[in-house]
Order: sequence, then structure tokens, then C-alpha cells
Amino acid sequence: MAASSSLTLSQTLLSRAISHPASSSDRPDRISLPGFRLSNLSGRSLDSSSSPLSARRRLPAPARQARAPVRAAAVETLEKTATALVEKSINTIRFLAIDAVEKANSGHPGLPMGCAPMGHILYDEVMRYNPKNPYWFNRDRFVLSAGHGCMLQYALLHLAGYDSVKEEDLKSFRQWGSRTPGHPENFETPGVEVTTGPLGQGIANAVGLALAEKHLAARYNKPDSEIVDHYTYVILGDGCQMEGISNEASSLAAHWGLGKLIAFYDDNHISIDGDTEIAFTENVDIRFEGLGWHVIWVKNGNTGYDEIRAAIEEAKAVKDKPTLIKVTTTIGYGSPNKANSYSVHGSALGAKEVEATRQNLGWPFEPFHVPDDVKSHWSRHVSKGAAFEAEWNAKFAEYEKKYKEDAAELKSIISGEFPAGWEKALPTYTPESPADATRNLSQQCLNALAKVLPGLLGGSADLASSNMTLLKMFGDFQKDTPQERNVRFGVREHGMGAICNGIDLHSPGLIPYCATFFVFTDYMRAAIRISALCEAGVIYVMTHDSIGLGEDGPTHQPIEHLASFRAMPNILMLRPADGNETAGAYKVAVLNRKRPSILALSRQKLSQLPGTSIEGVEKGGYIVSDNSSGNKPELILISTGSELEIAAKAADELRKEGKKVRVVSFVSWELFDEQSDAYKESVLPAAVSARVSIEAGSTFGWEKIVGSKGKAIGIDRFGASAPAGKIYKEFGLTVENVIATAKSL
Amino acid sequence: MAEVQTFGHAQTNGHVKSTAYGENVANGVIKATKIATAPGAESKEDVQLVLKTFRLMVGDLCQQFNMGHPGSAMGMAALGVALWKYTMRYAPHTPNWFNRDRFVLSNGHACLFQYLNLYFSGYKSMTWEQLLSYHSERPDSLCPGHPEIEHDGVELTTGPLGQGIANAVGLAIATKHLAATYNKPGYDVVSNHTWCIIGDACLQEGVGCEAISYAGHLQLNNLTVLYDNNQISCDGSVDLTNTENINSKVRACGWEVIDVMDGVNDVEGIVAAMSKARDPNRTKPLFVNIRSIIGVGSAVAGQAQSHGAPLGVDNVATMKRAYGFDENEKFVVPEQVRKFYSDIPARGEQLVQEWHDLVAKYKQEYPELGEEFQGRVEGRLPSDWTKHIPSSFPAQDTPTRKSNNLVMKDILEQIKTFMVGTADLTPSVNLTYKDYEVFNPPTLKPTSGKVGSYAGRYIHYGIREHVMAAIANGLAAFNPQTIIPITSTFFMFYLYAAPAVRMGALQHLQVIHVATHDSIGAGEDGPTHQPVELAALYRAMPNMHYIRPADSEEVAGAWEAAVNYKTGPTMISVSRHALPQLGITKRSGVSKGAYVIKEEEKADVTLISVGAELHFAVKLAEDLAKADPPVKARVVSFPSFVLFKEQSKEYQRSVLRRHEGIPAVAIEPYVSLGWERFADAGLHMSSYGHSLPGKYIYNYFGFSIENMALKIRSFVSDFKSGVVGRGEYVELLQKPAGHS
Repeated sequence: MAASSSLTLSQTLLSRAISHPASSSDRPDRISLPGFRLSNLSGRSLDSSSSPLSARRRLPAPARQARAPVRAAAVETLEKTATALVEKSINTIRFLAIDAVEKANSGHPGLPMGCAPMGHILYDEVMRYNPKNPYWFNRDRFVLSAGHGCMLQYALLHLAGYDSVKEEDLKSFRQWGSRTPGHPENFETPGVEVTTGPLGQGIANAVGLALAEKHLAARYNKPDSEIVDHYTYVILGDGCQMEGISNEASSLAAHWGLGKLIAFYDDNHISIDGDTEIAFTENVDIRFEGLGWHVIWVKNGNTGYDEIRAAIEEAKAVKDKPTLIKVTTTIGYGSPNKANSYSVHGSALGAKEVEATRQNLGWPFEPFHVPDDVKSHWSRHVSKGAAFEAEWNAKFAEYEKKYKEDAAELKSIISGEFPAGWEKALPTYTPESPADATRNLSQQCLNALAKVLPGLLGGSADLASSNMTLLKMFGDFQKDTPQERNVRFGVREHGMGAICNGIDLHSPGLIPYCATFFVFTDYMRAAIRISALCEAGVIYVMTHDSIGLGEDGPTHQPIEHLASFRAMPNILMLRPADGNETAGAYKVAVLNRKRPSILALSRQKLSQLPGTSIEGVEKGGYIVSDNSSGNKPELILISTGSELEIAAKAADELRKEGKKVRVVSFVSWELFDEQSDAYKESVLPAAVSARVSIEAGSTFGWEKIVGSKGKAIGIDRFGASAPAGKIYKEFGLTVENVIATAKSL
Repeated sequence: MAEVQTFGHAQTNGHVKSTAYGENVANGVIKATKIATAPGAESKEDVQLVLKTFRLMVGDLCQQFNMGHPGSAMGMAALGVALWKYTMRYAPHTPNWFNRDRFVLSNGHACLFQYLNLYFSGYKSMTWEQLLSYHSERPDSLCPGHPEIEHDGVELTTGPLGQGIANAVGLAIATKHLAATYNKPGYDVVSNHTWCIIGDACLQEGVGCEAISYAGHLQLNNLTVLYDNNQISCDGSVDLTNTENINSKVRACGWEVIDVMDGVNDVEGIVAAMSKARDPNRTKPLFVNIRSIIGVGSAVAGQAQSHGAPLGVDNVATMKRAYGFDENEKFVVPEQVRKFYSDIPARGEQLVQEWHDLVAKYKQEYPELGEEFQGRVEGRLPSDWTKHIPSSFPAQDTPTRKSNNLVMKDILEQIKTFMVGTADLTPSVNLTYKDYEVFNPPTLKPTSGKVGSYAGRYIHYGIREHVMAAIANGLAAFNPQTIIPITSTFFMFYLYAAPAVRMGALQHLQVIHVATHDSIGAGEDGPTHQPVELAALYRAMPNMHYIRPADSEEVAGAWEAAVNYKTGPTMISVSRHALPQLGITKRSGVSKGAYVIKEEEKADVTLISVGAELHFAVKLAEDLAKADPPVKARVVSFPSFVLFKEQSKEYQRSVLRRHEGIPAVAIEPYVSLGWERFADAGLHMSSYGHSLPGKYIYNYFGFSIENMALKIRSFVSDFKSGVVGRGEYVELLQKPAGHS
């Protein structure tokens, strides 16, 4: 890489400038920022100990006269012109962000202005990627966890030569028809790995990406061929640090020893409400060391380019721990009146301040201008990227010759093309098969699929033995056994979901699943929604899916959960009733690689019902039994999951009385919605308004199915702590009540 | 240590520091309380017998119905003795004593631990029969599978992990705030301590981490967390998934950490560690890391098997033999054990009496403040609180988030019951008021923003939505209506807070959540910030009042309804963007959930809309009347499903008039789910939103007046001709082509 020639030397020279929190007795938030005393820097070490305490808080943005001698000593002697160009490139990034936000009159300029140096160094000097093929498998991954600063990433993608972000996209930031939405979205903008914005998600996604790399490397790399070998970089801010999810994910990253995860913490001390001192005074460095990370502090993130470079080198050298590089920056760096304040966080600078910033940073160019030398400097990434990929392709061709089977598997993971006939591995059942809880049947499916789908991996949030998610033929994915496929997420549901999003988006053939009690989807809703939005086909294995779990009581009994996920766009909510339906649910879930699935599974034993089938599940709703003819039943009983058995028994009773009764399993509303009108009519004929539904959850939404003349039996209150049978009875989820309700129509 | 009275004094670095309580003791205002603060030499044998009895009771109770979580409860036996016998100030016979120490079991699955301690310490409702009802079919059992707030001696319902510690932070904030507001020299009328036991899991959950970070930031020296460090969770040993240095992490968050190496038997050591909790010189919350052994004494001690399943008859029998108990007898509580606990109720009543005496004197000394304090204790609002709500509002377009401020700013300023907080969105949620004071340690001096104090009522939660809602539950649970907490963030981020919001609903806690930026109208921030399905969650959630007002007038109604709803949370959902003031809305209509704002005797259609889009319906009714052929539309404002469902059938019919054959069309850019109950067709979102400026986004998704009018006319005509009928909810909008 072009600019890396000086790194070793600069690293040595600058080693004093990089502090390690463990050896620093000072409170980091009280240390001044040397970047503000630029004139003192030239030709000297970056030692900041003589700076007055708290200086950074009082100092405004850098004064203009301080601009010229920015370079640190090491580089000055080696790469004078290069550094000037680096600076120019960094200012290009800053002004692309400033100009785009200004034109949109909406957006977040502060972060890109502060993080431009690390952004430049990453994309121009460090990362390996191919701008013309954003999906090249072995690329380094970059995640902007502080997604509101997305103009940073758009500017970088633009400079690097990605086709997804053209000049007109920058000019139409946050507007109609652009590829530059208000937060980074992987489904809109190739080059963006994951969808961020809701804080803390990105760092957890990055942990998933790094997990995927470590896992695949362990499985497929050979002593003579490191075919999987990339880094995952992430920038996160104070907001991400405060969110609980980041602590969950960071704890796991260290536990797993994800040495190729390098996180930049943009330590700018400003959030929307102002100085983070008002709500966030913990010592982040020591907390991260406590979590097991390697921590480096770059004190001058505004202009300390060599410090940043050296920190990255050091981070790469530490192979058994993830690294947090705390980069102290000034939000809105360069803006003379607004830097280091919340006003630069989330709104345009305003014409006057833009002009002042141009003056301050010595930027004579018109809006959106990329100077020619900057342009030509960045232009090499197209050919370089193509070369990276070509080189890797050649390597893979070699690999394929030597390791045919491994190569085929890896190819399947890279392409998302599954081995033909994989679905035949799914078990099927007859009514004579023993009654079982769908969580147990789910385990049979998972274990069957793991044999045929090389990309299937996952685990539970400390409930593997209750969720029944262990893959028996594999061990635990751990720091020293990363080739294994059972992931132990701990009691960290939110982090688990977001990590699975990262795994999923790493490669099309990776199929992550994760599990907890259905009620604890509450803890991970934000991650589940991102799965749905960013088209990550994560499989959510959610057991103990109703009051049927019994004694654990209302805190553990889901009520409104089915309704809430049926309302969520682009997700499949599946509630299978028995073995065949569970297998069907897995088939659907595996096939839907761009749409997550939630499987609601029972704790309690359920009978294997006649009439259920995998094919039925694929249609969402289907007839499991019927004694009418000509599509004219007198009554339709509709149910899902554990209550389908109740509906079936009620139908038997009613049929004994001569009624023509149809029983419909409604395992997935979304899939049913997608069927043809003719099919829908064949299952739920419009002329039949006598419909009763029964489901151990909120009736919210069921009018859609039973119509205004039908009745929905469900639970519109919180549950209770008692044995399951007792609660079912108390809540009227009984054969008797279904019959009585049907007769009352 | 023998039985000595040390409550009023705390030992710190060799010198004795007097507290207000201590001074009162010295001045004779309060009689010296005789509470043993550590087992005396003579009672050490008793303590061991108590521990054995306790563990065997746990074993027997789980065996009874072959179900339960025995391990942690057994491992924490000594912790129970240290707390209920030697440390906490509480009154089993006056369980709701205002100034009691609060105890929260954050690892709620170990509830048997709490039930046994409540029984032994003499809570009247926890009878022997009740104790034995653990995991029984008894519907009125006081021993459910997780502790529930409704029962004496339980401060909050716990179970979902990490919630309890966050609730405890709320309880500690309440104390800190009330003390700063009402205590006077010599009159510590609010002085209780909050104790919280957590397990390994609470430290893994993000909400637990948020709570620890924020409590450290607030320097809550009246909060002690006892970490039952048994290194076992459901799936096995904790190092399977967690290899953090917990002490280091917690210290980094600003806590003082003390280690107790033998948490199984060393009651004295635990008590000594806990005694540091009341040190008035401490400026940090206290974290006591107590090494314990899950299922101690049993054959599965130290193993995950003892976590969530009974030990087995043989195993319990073996334990009994080893402990010198009769293996054939069940539920044995020796007389010495009963005697050991027998002094607690009387001692508690004495504490209560002393506090009442103190408050009485306080009221004499400070009549006005005393009266106010009494009102807070009773959870009273000034009877005329609604007078602060303006009777009318400016006519110009106003975002309803700003209407919140118009409605509430005087109330928030003048009525101390309200504590407002935000997850780092002060400039966006508009809930500040004149001279608002921030709740923060006065030692923190931010360069921007205000220096706070503990008397402050405005809480900067940081970007921690989940803990914000959980802390609010703690504030509300401190004592009914003493504090009415208000939280705020973008509606979308109540997704992060969902577990805590649900826990508030489950516990009937009055918390008011202000959810701003509540629609695609939020604009450029894009689909990650635009709710489309979230209302369905809160509309489906039991006990939750989700209200979406349309203009300032309805915002006034929403707040009245929220403040008057004392047995559950309310979420007030408001817009980012400016909305017309319709002039025909009524605040009194909000509490009915839905009401007619434009009647039309011979209507062709009822247009139902809500919140930021209600003005669409009004405009549509006007335009449709002028169309050719004209369509006569009546308009219903529908701010709250749940409030409407509570109305009589007659009222509901008078509003909807569907029984007269008039079809209803709902207009709301959320997904349709739930509207089938009230309407026959709707204009809704069926996908996520898009990053577009607010002025374009409605059109992009089909919500232009022209398009909506077209769709409604065609639906009305289809309905008349019978192409569609009632009960077949018709989606009138498709998502834009190419939009996923």
C-alpha cells in the first residue's frame, strides 16, 4: 500500500505519543488535545503532558495561523508532499460532508469533519477493497456505527471510486432518488456493509462480521493458503458507547478473541444534549480493558495522522484481542464558531459558518469540488482493487485445485447457492409420531440442516438447553475453537441479534440463527427490525412462545409479540403447530435469505396432527381438515401453533353434531398474503363469514382474518404464573370455549 | 462484634462522622434503634442452623411440585441473613412504610430466596400456607415464578434480566431527589437505602450495563449492588460466554468495589461489607462482589443443573442427613430459627414510629414544606393542576412535540411531582421548562449545559433508552404517585426500551413516555428513524395507553388522560413536523379514544384519522364534498384504540356508525394491522419508510390529497356496488414500485 512505507519508522518515532490508559494516571477526559496547539507540534514530540488541563473544552476550533505546520516530525522528513496531499484529501472529505449537508439543509456534519483523518487513512492507506466489486468476498469490512455521520462514508466511497456514490448522489444527499440516504443503508448503497443509525447496532454488526471472518478462516484456511483473511473496521461514537448493546457485543468480541476487529472510538465528548459530562463520565478505556480489549489512545485525532497510522499497525500486531483505538477528536473540526459544540452535531453549518470554515481551513474551492491532485491520488484504488481481487481469485483457483471439497463448501458460502436437495434432509412426521414440543422438533431440524448447509451456525442467549439449539455434531465457537458452530451468546439478546445481522451480511451463504424465549424478543426488537430492514435472513428461534410455558409467569409469557411482528414489514412470523410444520418453517426460513424469520415454538408437548405439511407451511395458511364440499364449510376454525390441536379437537366434536367444519392452520400471515386470490378464496372463501380463530396471544389484528362477523379467541391481558393447563382453562383457550363461541356466531 | 448500635455513625478511615440521623439520636429526637449489625458470638451457631434450614426449605419447596430455581436461592442464604436480619431498615408489619430500605432481586428467578426471607422476617401476608404455594395451582399465590410488585415486601416485578438493577437505580434516584428536596438539618425525613442483588446475567445484559454506567455517573451513594457471583448460568459456567474483569468494568463506571470471598457462610463478612454502604462520606455507589456457590450443600453444588431444576429427592435427603436433619421430614423450621427472626417485626414498628415522630416534628418546624411533603407521601397532585393547561393555543402550525411544551411547561415548572428525562434529545423533544434544574451531582461541571443538583427534576439519561424506561419504572414504584416520571426520545427508539416499557405496563406503573418524530413525516433521517409498525406493538400491549394527538388541543387532552391514568403507562406519540391547528378538535374527546370532529347526517363514508395525519382527513372531506359526484364524508379523530374500546357500545356506534352501513376508511401511514377492528379500508404503509424530506415523503408513499381522494372515491363506489364488503379490510395503497 502506497502510504505505508513510512509506517514502521513513524511508528517507532511516535510511540511516545500514544498512551495506553493502563499506564496513564490522568483522567482521559481532562487531558488537553495537542491538536489545538498545532504551532507547538512541528518538529517536536506529541507529548501533551504540559498542556493545561481541560484546555480542549475551552479552546475554539483551530485558529487559522496554526494551519501551516501541521505535520508531525516523522513524516515531515519523509513525505512532505504526501502529507500535504493527505491533508488536502482530508479536507476534501470534510467539505464534501459540509457541502452535502448544507445543500440538503439537513444532516450531521460534525462527525465527518472530526473523523475525516481516520476515514482517509482507512480508505486510502489501510483497507483492501475493490470499488468496482463492492461484494468481493475477501474485502476488509468497514462499519460506521455512528451512522448519522454517513456523509463521511459517502465521501469516502465517492473518492474511492464506488459507482454507487456519484457526484450527483452527494449533491442530492437525503433527497429523492439518491443513493445517499440519511443513514447508511446496505440495500441502497453498495459499499455500505450494514444498515446503521440506531446507535450501538453497528459495533455489534461489526462483531458479527469479524466473527464470520474468524470462523471461516478457521474452517477453510490452510497452512499454505490463507484464503479468508480480512479485517473489520468500525467507527463508533459516544452514543454507541452509552447504549447497552455495545457493551454486550464488545464483551463477546473480547471473549472470542476477535483480533481482526479494530474499532475507532470517536471520542469527541459531544452528543445532542451537549457535553457528555452531563450523562457519561465513565472511563471507557478501562472499561474496555476490563472487557478484555487492547486499548490504544490517539490523543490527537484531528491532525495526528501518524498516531492514527501507528495505532492501526499496533492493533494489527495484537492478534488475540480486538483493539479499541480511542481517537480524541473535535466534533466539527475546522468550524471556527461551532466546533466542539452540539450545534455542529445534527444540523447544517449555515452559509456564513461554511464560509468561515472555508477560510479557516484554507479551502478556496466551490462546493463539492474534488481537487485534481486529490482525485488523481485516489484514482489508483480502482486498479488496486481490481488487482486485489484478481490476486485473490488466482489464490482461490490454486486452493480449489488442492482442496476441492473445502473449496466447494466455501464457494457455497460465498455465493449463497446451497447444495441441491438440501431440503430433503428435513424430517417429516406422521400423526403416529410421538407428541413433542416444537422446540424439540426444531432441534431435530437444526441438526438435520447443519449436515447439509455449511453456512448454518448460531446459538442461544444462555438458554441453549431450553431453546434446544445445540448442534450435536459441533462444539462451541470459542476463542480457541473458532471452527465450531455453536455460538454461546450469553444473556445478551440484543447483541445476539445484531451480531447475527453482521454474520448474515458477511456472506450470502451464511445462515445465522439465534434463540431465546419468545418474550425476550423484546430485548432484541431493535436488532430484529434492522434484520428486516437490511434484508438479513437471520433465523430467530423463539421458544416458550405463550402462556403455555406456565409457572414462570407473566414476565415470561408473550402476549402482544405475535401481533407486533406481524405488523413488522419484511419479516416472516411463523408459528408451527407440530413436526411437519416446524420442518416447513425451517424450509421457508432457509429459503428466505433476504428476509428474516421468527419461529415461535412451544415449550409444551404437542401432538403430531393429521393434515399438516411442509408444503402447507410454504403457503402460510392451508386446510388441515375439512368435512365440507364445494368450498362451502359452515364454519372455519383458524389457528396457529399450539392451539391448532384445540381447533382440530373442537372441529371433531362439531362434526359429530353434523356440522361442516374446516380447520385452517395459519402458520404465517405474511406468506398467506402473498398467495393468489384464487388460493386465498379456496382456503378462506369470502362467502363464509362464520369464522373463529384461537391463538394464545393478543387478538390484535385477527379481525383481518375472521372478519367482522367472526370471533377471535385470544388473550388481551397479561398472563399469570400457574401450570399451563390451568392458565389455558382460565383464559378460555379450550375446546369447549371454541365450540361455544362457534355456536354463538 | 457484639450487638452495638451504629446506625447513626459510620466508620470511615478510623474517624467517626456524624450523620443527621446520628445527631438526632444524640439530641433525643430519635431513640437509639437496637439492630444488631453483625451476628454476635452467641448467635453464630444459630446463624449456621438458619442457613441450613433455609437451604433445605429451598430444596423441599422445589421438590414439592418438581419445579423451580433452587441453586441461587441456596447459594445466597447467607446474603439473606445479612440483609434481612442485620442490615436493612424495614418493617414487615408496615410493608409500605415510606422510608423503608428498598430491596430489589434483579435475578428474579431466584424468587424463592425472597419469599423465604419475607416469611422468616414476619411479613403477615406471607403465611406458611402461602409459602408452600410456590409453583402450585393456587391462583392467589403470593409466590409466583418471579417476584411481583403486587405483593408485600416486593418493590418491583423482576425476572427479565437486567431490569431489576435498573429499577434499583430509579429507586435510589427517588430517594436522592426527595432527600435533596425535603430533608432539613436534623430532619432526614427521606434517608432510605436501596439494595439490589444481581446475578451474572444482569451484568451481561445491556440494560444492566447502562444502569451501572449511569448510576456511577450520578454518584448514587445510597445504592448498593450485591453481586451473587456464582459463575453459573443456565448454559453452564459463565466463562463459556463471559471473561470480563467485572470489578474493573464496574470501577471504570465509577463505583466502589468490595470483594467478599466467602459468601456462602461468612455472614459477618457480608455484613461488614454492607456496613460500608451507609458511610455518608462515600461518593460512589457500592458494588459488593460476593463469591457464592450455586446449590451449595447439594450434590450438584457449583453446577448449572442446580440453576433451574429441582435437586431431586435423593439429593435433598442426602443434604438433610449431612445437615443433621431428619431426611424423612419436609419443611422443617426449628424453633431456634423462628426465634432468631422473632425480633424483626417489633424492631420494624419502632423504626416506623420514630419516623412518624420525626415527620411530625418536621411539620411543626417547616409547616409549608411539611404539608407539601405529606402530599408527596400520599401521592396527591394539587387538585387544580389542570388550571395550568392553557385553555387555547396559538393558531399557527405547530409540531405536536412543541404542543407538549405549550401544554406542560407551567405544570412541569410548578408541580414537583413530575420528573422529566430524555435520552439525549433535549432540543428535539421540547420538554424543558423555565429555569429547569438538572438532576446531576453538583460536582460535575459540564462545559455546555447546566450544573445540576440532586434537587433537579430534569434527567439527562444519555443515549440509554432502555435504562431510561427501566429507571422510570423505579421512580414510579418508589411510592405511588410520589413521583410521576416522564421519559422521552424518538418514537422509534422506544423499540430499544420495549422490555422496560412492557414491565411498566405489567406492573401498572404510572409512567408517561413521550415519543416524538412519530411518523414518516420525520423525513430525511430515513427508515431507521421512521416508525411504521411500532404503534401496533404499543396498541397491542395490555395496560398501555398509546395516544396519538393531532394538534395542541388534543395534546392537552392527551396529557390530561395520561396524568389521570394512575394504574399504567401512557405513551404520547407526537410529530416532528408542524401541523395545522384544526379548530374542531376537543381535548375532552381524547379521553374517549375517538370522537366525531365533522358530522354528516347522510354520509357516504367515515374518514378516520389520527395524529399528524388527521388534517389530511379534514381536507379530504372538504375536497370529496366538491368532487363530481360529491362524496359526503364525516370525520373521526381516533387518538387512542384502548381508550375507545373502554367506551360503551352505544358510544362506539355513535362514533363509527358502521352499523348504519356507512363504511369507514382509516388514514394512517403505519401498517394497517389493528385497524380492521374499526374500519373497512385504509390508506397505510406496507413497507419501511425512506430517506426523503418531510414535504416529499407523504407523496412518495401515496399520501397526497389527490391520490387519497381518488382511492377513497373508488372504494366508496366499490362498497356501494358490493364489490367489497364489510370485514374485508381493503388496503387502498400499494408500496411504491421498486421499494422494498
